[in-house]
Amino acid sequence: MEQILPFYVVCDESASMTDVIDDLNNGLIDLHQQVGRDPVVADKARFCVIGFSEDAEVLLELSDLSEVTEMQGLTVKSSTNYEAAFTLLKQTIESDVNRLKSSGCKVYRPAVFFLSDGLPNAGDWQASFDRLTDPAWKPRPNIVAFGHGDVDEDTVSSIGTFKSFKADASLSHGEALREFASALTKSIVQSATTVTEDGDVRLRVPDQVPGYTELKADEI
Amino acid sequence: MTGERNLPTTVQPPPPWGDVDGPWIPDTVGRRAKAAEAVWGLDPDPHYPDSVLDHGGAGHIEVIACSVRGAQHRYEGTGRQDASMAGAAGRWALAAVADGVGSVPDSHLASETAVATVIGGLTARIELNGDEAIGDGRGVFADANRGLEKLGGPRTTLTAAAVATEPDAEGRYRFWVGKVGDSPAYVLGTGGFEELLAPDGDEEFSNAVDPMPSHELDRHYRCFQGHLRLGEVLVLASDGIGGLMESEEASDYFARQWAAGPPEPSQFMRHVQLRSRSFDDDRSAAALWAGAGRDAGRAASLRTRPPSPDGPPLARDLELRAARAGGIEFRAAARRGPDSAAAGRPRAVRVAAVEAGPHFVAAVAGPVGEEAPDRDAELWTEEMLEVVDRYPPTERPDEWIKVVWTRVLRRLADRPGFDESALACAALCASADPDGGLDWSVGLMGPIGAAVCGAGLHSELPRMYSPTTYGIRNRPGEPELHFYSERLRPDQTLMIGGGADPSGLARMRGRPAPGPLRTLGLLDSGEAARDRCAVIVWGVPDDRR
Repeated sequence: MEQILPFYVVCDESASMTDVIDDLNNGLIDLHQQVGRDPVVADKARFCVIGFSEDAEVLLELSDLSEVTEMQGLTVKSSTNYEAAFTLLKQTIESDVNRLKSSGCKVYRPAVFFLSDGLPNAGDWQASFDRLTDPAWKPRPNIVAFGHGDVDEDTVSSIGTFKSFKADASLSHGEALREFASALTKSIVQSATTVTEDGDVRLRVPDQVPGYTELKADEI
Repeated sequence: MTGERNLPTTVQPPPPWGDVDGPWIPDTVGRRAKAAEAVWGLDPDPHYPDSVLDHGGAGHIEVIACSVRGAQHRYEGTGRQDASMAGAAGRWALAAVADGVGSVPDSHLASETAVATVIGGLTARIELNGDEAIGDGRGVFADANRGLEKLGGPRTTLTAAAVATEPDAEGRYRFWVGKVGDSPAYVLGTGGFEELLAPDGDEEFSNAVDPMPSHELDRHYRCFQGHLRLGEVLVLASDGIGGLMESEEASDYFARQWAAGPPEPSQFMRHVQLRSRSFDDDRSAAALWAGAGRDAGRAASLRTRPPSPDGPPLARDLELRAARAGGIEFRAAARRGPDSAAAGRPRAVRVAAVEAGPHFVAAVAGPVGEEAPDRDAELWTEEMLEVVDRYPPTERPDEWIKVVWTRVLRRLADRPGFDESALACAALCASADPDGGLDWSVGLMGPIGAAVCGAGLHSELPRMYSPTTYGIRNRPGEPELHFYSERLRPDQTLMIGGGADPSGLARMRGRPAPGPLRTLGLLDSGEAARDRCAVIVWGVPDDRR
């Protein structure tokens, strides 16, 4: 039996990322080094990378980063298809959780770091998002959303079920993406090493991420 | 820019650290647990060693109570938050386990206070009211709750038990278990573990801790009274073991190890550290075997002296520290010897270790002879820790150690009844070289060992080097102080201690570099009757740190 805390990073690979994709990839390399070298974190956390553009693709299957020797990087493609991203994410989580549970693992609620720098321009993404976050679906993930560029605040904050951030132009696009990767690293390390009072594991996300402003959740 | 590319990514895992061979390496269930193989950092508070264990018997009951740091605290160099204790009073064997709530600072103080007050409270009430005291577990928990309130913040779980040391007319052993919080209790019989006072309700939402101190103690306190059959084992555990018990593989493992009777204490400590990937919490278990002491002559008796509410935490029968700090590997261990154990006396030898900048400082002390006051070793060690904290090592450790030593003795001269001639003690200050050597300074007073080991041989310091020698007040008959300051080669190991045999260390294959549990094995090979203690150090070259 193992206790597993799965992290999914879902990244926009649309054309507007052309100048900054290397910053994001370098951030993922740093993340791999830091998480993979920390045996306490690596024993619990699992990490998956999904890239999306006109379509979505699993670039790194849910993995133990201390055992990963090769990671497929993000590459720039064309458009921004949220529907493809959310649909693939739900399928991937479903099959990962089933596989882990059937091998006797105790799986904590998955965490998703969603990064987009443009408005969705294809498909009916809302229906796929509702399926992903359906309260009746047991492994529904906690989502932390990061928005850049053209993406509007309402969209970002509606996707971020746990927290949402919008780039505020205090850093360059590339620098902000580095900070995104660093916040993701911190979140993985802190979530895997801080137990709650009742001995449980919960998602932890830094309160402040340089280059971003946290978006307030809607009040009802 | 389109198309695929692979990112250059590899992580070189470090080689496993600690016990890597023989009967000392903890077993693993499931996949390899990397965190359990990682280097340990030093415990930040010298009063809370990495691992502690109580062991002994009373009447027909034999008890082992053990707490160890989990893999995460070891890797981070943060302190143990679990505590456990065993004891005996009247016709009862006692044990307690507490799990300090990790999200609050100083939770180690809460767990230590909890086990000490509940064992102390049970002892006092049993001495006053005999067997009737067992009906008032709630009162004992209320006392512990008040003690914890005084700490003003840190919180803990507490599970305690008392088992009758003699059977009733039907050959069964009456027992009581009380608990607040989620540290479980089990009866281990032929059918495996059966949990007592198991939480109600949906498993996924049942892990609320509700720790102590509690404003609603009456609501959170739960107890169980029953009878153990001959051969059954009552087991108290912290969540670090309780979480593992949910897996059949792990609970089968513990059942296999403990159902047949009490193992060697150091083996019990090894079992508690069963490696299981992602289970990195502190581990505690206290096991009470019904009938285990029925026939055989007993080697060890449980302590009957209750823990003192003042002073440092009660010295357990066995304690162990191990870490790599900077370029220094060290092990420090102490255990009750057969004489004290047979008499149910507490352990009199003390060992302490602290990191002070680039220096590693350790002290060991013990009484000389049967008549020696057994508080003196603790007094000396406590003073040594305080003086080292106030005057950390300088660039001249050889001079510093003499100054520190003199200050300690001067402060102790005011203590009524303190007698340095009835004390054997040693202090060590070491700092690492980049190439794996160590510069060390050692002070010795009274009959205590200090030896350099390497290449299969060991040599006591006086046979290798000439010490600087002082008298304390230059009066005839008083103990002399001997100081040595030398360099340890990268293939050598230095050991100071009492009652431990350096030849076992010297005979280790390769360089004498024992893992933590192996260090306990070295204490076993020491002189027959005395309490034993040892501090072992060696250097690690820069390129292997």
